[in-house]
Amino acid sequence: MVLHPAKLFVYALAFRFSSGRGRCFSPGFKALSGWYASRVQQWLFDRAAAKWWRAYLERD
Amino acid sequence: MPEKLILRDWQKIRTWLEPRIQAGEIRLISLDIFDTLLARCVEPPEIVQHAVCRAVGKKVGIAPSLVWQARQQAEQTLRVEAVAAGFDHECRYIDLLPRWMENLFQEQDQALGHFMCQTELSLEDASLHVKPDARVFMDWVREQGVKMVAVSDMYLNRDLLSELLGRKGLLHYFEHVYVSADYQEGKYSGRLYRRMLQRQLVTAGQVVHIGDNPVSDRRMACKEGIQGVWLYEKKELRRRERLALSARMSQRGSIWVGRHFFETVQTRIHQDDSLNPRNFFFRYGRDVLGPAFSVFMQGLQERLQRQQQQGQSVEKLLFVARDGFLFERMYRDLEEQLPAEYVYLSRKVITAASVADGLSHEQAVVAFYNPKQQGLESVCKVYGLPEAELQPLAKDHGFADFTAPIHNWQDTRLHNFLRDHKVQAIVRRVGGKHRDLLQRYLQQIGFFAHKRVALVDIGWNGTVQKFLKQAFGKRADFPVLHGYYFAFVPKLYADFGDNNVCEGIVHDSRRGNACERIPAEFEEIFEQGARSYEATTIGYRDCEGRIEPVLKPDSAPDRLAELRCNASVARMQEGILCHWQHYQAVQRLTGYSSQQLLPYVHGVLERAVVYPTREETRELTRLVHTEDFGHDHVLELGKRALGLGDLLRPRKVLQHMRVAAWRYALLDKIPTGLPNFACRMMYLHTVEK
Repeated sequence: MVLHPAKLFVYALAFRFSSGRGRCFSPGFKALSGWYASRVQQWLFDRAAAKWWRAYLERD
Repeated sequence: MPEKLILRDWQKIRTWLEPRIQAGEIRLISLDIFDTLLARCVEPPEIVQHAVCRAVGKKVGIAPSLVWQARQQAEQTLRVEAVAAGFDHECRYIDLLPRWMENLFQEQDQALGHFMCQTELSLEDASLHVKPDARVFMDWVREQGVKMVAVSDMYLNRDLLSELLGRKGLLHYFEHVYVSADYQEGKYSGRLYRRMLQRQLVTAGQVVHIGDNPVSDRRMACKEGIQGVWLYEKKELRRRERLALSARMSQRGSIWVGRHFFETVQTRIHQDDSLNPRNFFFRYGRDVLGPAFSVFMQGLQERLQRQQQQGQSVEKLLFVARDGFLFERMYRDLEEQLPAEYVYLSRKVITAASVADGLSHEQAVVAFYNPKQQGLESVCKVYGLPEAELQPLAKDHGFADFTAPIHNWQDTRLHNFLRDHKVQAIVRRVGGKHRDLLQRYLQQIGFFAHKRVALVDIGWNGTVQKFLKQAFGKRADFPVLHGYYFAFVPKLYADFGDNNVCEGIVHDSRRGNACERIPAEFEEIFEQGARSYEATTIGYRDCEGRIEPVLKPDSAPDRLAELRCNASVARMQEGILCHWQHYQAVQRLTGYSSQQLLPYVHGVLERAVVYPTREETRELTRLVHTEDFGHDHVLELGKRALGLGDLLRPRKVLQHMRVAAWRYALLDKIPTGLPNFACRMMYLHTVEK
């Protein structure tokens, strides 16, 4: 039910390469890049882990 | 000062607590509620408040943004007033409600206040679920004989929060519920802990508080001498981050709206039942057909409401057998309903009645659309005509073999046969009988008693609607007919006549959007998913003045095959209804329209039809499909899958693909999705752009 947006992007390419109408369920390249950037950001700046370290190191 | 405790799950908390409880050191366990015991399926939590504003706005006819502004304004004022009075910056719902109404209408309305309050509660209820591990933990604490209290920083007052906890089946665990809104004192200042200790008559050292916030649930509790435990559930935090990203992306529109919506639905489904059911058909119904049928039902409801607003309200909804069966069950779950009925109509009975005035060439060739057509025998089967009586007459016109397929539709023999007065006399006599019974059945269900009637069906050509108009359209009381189809592909007929409107909600070929045509590429699976367990209607009989449908006998070969598949269809429908239940809740929370969700649903269907998994191909090709156009044919959904060796015989491959009901299943044995992608492109090149 929850599809990876890159998959949808690839599926929509089949329409782009044939009928020329591939926008309907394509996430759009810009939006897809934005999504990937956010995911990488989430992975690099692990807020949950940072929270844990902060609590772990704080003085009572 | 209590020790610094950061524990990752409820089991670890239990392990830490067990020896201390046994040693009698702990007399009271205090629990945070939100994100500790209860988790949300939406992120950020403001989505719930926005949903309340939408519901209030809809009820009173004010833009939701204004309702939201009025609420924010009231909340801010109350927080400032609380701080000025020496309390924590808390806002009480009991104070917020009158202030909010005053900002909106400059007056108080008790009934509206009650509506607002109940909407808030029911939407909070829809967005929350009890974490299964938390419930197990609380059961264990109760067994140990230790008292529990709930302590929460929340704007809902104790009564409202208790009602919410009651709805979630948690209230009975607690001795008392302490809410910041009641005292205008929060956990973050430590005041709420002090009040709790005072009221419970325990010392801080005898209490353990567990919560998800490192500051208010651990640090502040520890400052008051209470052993605070920070419940650090990494998986849960990640899930919330993912949902928040999804919500942000949804503002870009396109498929992101649908992705946010269905991610929320999936979260809710998993939260409700974290077990992944083993039955394939249940999962397929829930995860593939569920989204498609649910968005169709929402689209139907939106169209009916629009018509109501335009003063052209549909008076009765008729769910057409057999594929309207599931839609009628889904419709019954909706809050606003019109009179609706499941009706026993089929292509077979309608076409039989439509020849009461004779059989035209246009009508006769309808039988030849079936790839397995058998010439005049098919015509007789489609229109319920007596083969024995027509066979000798056909011979006179040169049809030596009554069952020989007719590929040239302009065959002179066919024209002559149809012009024959004797043929038409037989057709009119038999058609007249069929029409009389059908007319009486329609009268019985009140078809002619309403000005506007809607037919709801899966699709595809609108045969029932077309022939109903053809058979009875001359009656003065024939209603304005609206046909709402899951997918509408009018290949057989173009003209449906006046006051006879058809619309495909998920797919309508007249819109010319190639991306939405996916249901038409594997129609059979949608029909299987929606169909009734009963046999198709082949006629009617008069039972002491009441017209009853005559169903195809269970001994018919196609019916026998169908009966064998009924259990799988039933599991599939259970899955669809499970999805529908969660879909409605999430729709109330997000407020998305069917139009916003459709692009993503088309993507889900594209994945399922064009790029099926091995398991999907294996299980779905076991189903058999029957058609109710007079024949006893059974359509196997899967044929032999193609292997790499078949690529050396491209002509044979093309032939296979042309006749296959599900052509992409043939590529099952070829690894990767590349052949599917290539096949999809080739196919799209061949169809009309």
